[in-house]
Amino acid sequence: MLLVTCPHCGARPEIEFRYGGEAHIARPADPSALDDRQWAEFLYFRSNPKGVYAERWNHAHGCGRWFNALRDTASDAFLATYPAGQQRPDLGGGR
Amino acid sequence: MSAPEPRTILAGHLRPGHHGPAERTGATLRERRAALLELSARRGRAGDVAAFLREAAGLDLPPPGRAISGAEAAALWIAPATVLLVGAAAALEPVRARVPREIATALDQSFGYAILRLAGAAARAVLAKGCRVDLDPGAFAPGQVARTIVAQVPTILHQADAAPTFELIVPASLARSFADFLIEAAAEFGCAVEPAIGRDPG
Repeated sequence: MLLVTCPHCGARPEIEFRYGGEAHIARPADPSALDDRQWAEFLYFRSNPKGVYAERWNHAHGCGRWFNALRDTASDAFLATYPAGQQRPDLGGGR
Repeated sequence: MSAPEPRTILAGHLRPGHHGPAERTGATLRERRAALLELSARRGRAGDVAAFLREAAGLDLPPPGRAISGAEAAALWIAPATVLLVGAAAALEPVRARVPREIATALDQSFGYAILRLAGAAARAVLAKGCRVDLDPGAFAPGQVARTIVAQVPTILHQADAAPTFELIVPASLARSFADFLIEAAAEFGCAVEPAIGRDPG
């Protein structure tokens, strides 16, 4: 069983959570200034690394809050979770 | 013509009786009828809600994953700055009426959820069939609350005492099939279904 550590509730089973895509993507301050290519990149283009990925997760069947996680997409290991709005933590070791 | 009496969703569904081996009773199941009041603090007003709760209900704001039980009601932490009060309607209605709207929203959930109490030596084994939260006494103790999924049903799980007794608060629309699951899961240990306790919140 995969446990995900909600910053509010602690370690809980994966089935309580919903995935929310890549984290730390800021909406452009002035969308009308963007051309179609730039808007499409904001909407659809993601970094999709093999390795550490910053993601949004929602504790849908728990406290209902959104938070961020660093997950290794190769091993599916959750390396860190942190509340929404916080900076991506530095894991050290160049990751 | 008078309005029909309000009834909980489990009234008439959860009939007292015994399931499984007659010589054993590993678990007892009953409905608890009580009022439910959800208080959700507005942004930055959790401190005001804590003060209101202390003054109006004599309860402290529970820390994450905890319940605080008082004489007339219990406060269950269900999300950051959000509590669910469980108690008799006579105790909760005055609280609901006095919630200052600028510090919190107050939602009467009395008929939105049903409350089931599962108790006995086999209660943990019964819940383990549908619940992935670790309920071992070393990991989950009386007074703890978890909002999780039990048998596919979103459940607010509260351990009320060390017997152990678990209170399971589930959406009313799913409560009948959820009660059927519990009876089915508990039958191998001997399951006594007992009469409901508490009073209709209506």
